[in-house]
Amino acid sequence: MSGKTWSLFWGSNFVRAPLQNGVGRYVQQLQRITFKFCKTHGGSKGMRAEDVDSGTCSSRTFHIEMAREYIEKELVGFARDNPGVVVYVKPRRHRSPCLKAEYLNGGEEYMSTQNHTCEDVHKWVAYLRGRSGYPTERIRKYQHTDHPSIQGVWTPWTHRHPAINIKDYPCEELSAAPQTEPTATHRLLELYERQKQQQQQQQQQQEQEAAKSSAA
Amino acid sequence: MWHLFDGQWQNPLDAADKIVPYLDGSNKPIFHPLNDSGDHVVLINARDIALPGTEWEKRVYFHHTGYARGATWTLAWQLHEIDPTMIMRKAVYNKLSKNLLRHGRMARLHIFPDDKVPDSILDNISAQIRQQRPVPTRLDHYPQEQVDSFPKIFDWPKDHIIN
Amino acid sequence: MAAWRRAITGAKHILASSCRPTINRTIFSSARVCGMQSRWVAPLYRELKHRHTKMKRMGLLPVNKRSEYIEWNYDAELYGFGKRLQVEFDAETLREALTDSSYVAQETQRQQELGVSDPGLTMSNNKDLAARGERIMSDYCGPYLRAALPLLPEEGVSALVEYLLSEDIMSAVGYGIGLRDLILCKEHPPSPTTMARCFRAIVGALGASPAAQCQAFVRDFVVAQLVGKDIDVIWKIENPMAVLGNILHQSRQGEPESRLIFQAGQKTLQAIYHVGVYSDKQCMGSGYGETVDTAVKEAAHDALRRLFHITDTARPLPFGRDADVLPLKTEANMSLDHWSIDKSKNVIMC
Repeated sequence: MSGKTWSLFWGSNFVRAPLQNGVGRYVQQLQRITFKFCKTHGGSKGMRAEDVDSGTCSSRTFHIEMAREYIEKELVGFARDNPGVVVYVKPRRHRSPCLKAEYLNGGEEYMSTQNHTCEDVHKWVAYLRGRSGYPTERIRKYQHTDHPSIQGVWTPWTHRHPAINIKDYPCEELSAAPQTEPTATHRLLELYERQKQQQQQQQQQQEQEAAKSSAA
Repeated sequence: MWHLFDGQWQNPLDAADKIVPYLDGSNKPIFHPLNDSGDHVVLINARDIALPGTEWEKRVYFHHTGYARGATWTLAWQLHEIDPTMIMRKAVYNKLSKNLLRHGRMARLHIFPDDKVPDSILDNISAQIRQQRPVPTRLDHYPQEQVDSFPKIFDWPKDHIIN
Repeated sequence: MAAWRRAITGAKHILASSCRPTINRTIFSSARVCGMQSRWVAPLYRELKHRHTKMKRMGLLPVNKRSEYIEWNYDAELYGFGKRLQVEFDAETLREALTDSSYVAQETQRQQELGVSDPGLTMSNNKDLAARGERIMSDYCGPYLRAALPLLPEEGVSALVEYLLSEDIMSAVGYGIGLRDLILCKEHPPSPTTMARCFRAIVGALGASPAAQCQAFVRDFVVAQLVGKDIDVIWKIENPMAVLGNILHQSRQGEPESRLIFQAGQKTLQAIYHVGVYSDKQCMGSGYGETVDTAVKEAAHDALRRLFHITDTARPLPFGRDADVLPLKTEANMSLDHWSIDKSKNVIMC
């Protein structure tokens, strides 16, 4: 956060990586970081530490004496851990301290570190280290894929029988309400069929008996 | 996509329940109210709809013009005589979600009182919605051979005198 | 502090009052929000900002070179450049790769103007390195794509290589690596042509490193630009139905015939036709369109995509360890005229 609180005028975008970063090798997007601070003012104390006993700091620095420490204690370690980042240190008298980060895709981040402690500066530096250079925006979706569909995108005909495509409309077959129970007409017809079958079987049995008796 | 629905012998209120998801687009996995994912529905035989029970006599449609003494209470059968598509239209309109998208969705509902649909609309149709209530066949619409082959269940006794 | 305030020197005495650390907002609901002590300067600031945006739109604003700032160390930048890309550069070659011919010409002219009679400039421009880099890239991209997409016809592979080595991609990659501030050229900001040449020269400068490192660099920065892109958008096939017919004829299979699968809303503006292309009653592919002709064309495209294995669901291009193991293929893929399904069955897909 470069000091901004969310507003409706922020843009929105999908998740993206500059130049497909990470597909091959991961390239740290932070190009250079500039530490601007004042050598004497108390607000920059956390950034550039002073020897408290030397007495050069002003009297009102007793609670903001931590910001200048960063440059003395942790900066060289940061530069060593991130050889791809060019670190500039710019002392400016009577100006408040700040961090200016520049990224490979041209994005810039500015962070004021006035009255920040050494830990605060360390945290902000670590934050800026990992950014991509794109402006802070609302992320519309937290996923991205190049293959959004495996089985195929849904169409209105996905789970429909293809026979509907060759029917003439209006079609009685497709319009008829589903029959869950057989109607009385159906049941009568079934009974009739069964009766006919029974009669046929009886007839066959009689014929067989008649044939046997005639044979005998 | 254009759907067809035959309103013959159907309860308009139940039919509206069935039709509204097609007008919304709720039946689709890509549904979103802002997506305008609704379909067209062509309703035929609106004249032959069947209100349940005594609703034809008792169901009342209220309308007020906004002016003084502008209230009218019209019974269902009277309304049906005036405009046979009106009952179906009101049923669907009242079932749709009460927001500004309602009129757009109603514009996609095409109601015809009978079978006669213009070819320009009939050519678009690619599916049919199933009815909910089975339509019985009229006795004089049965084919003659089916009538003849139907088993005789009952006959008068021999000494019965038919007058 | 907002750049537009700094740009107008006349307003300096007013700026002094608002030197407190401010919130970097561009939309102000009230003057107090942007730290203004006096509200009456708001109309002035509004006018200044309006002029600034107008000048920016017209391109009249001077763009500062990063190298003109006090906090700039070219040696450190070059060191960081190499470390960031995880590549070892030879310092001299790197500087040569970053020097454009226009810069050399400018320096020579400047020395002549200053009165130096014989400008013995030792710096050389990056043209040779650019040519070398282009050779390295085409020598790798072709075999890599042939190995990764063995069923894609040779015309497709060369179209993809041409796309990857085009000025747009080269300059985009150059900008994305951070060459904008490092390049030494006459114009500022550097034009895409200059940027593309510079990036090619950077690849050329890698020529001295082991081949595997060079190839990995080209793969990670150049070939990676194909990720997420449709191959048949880059390599457009005109008349896909004729091409499909030719392929099926080569494969001694039936002629392609298109059949309508479904249609909807024929008489409306939003008509859809779903057409399938069949050969010997086997479905080769299907496509959607607003008219039947569009749908047939799309169906033929789909059939070709399925044959060449470049659908959406195809295997992605290999990177990293998978790519290290991939054996590069120098012999050409099947050409489109001689492509057949029988031959494609002989190709090993790993």
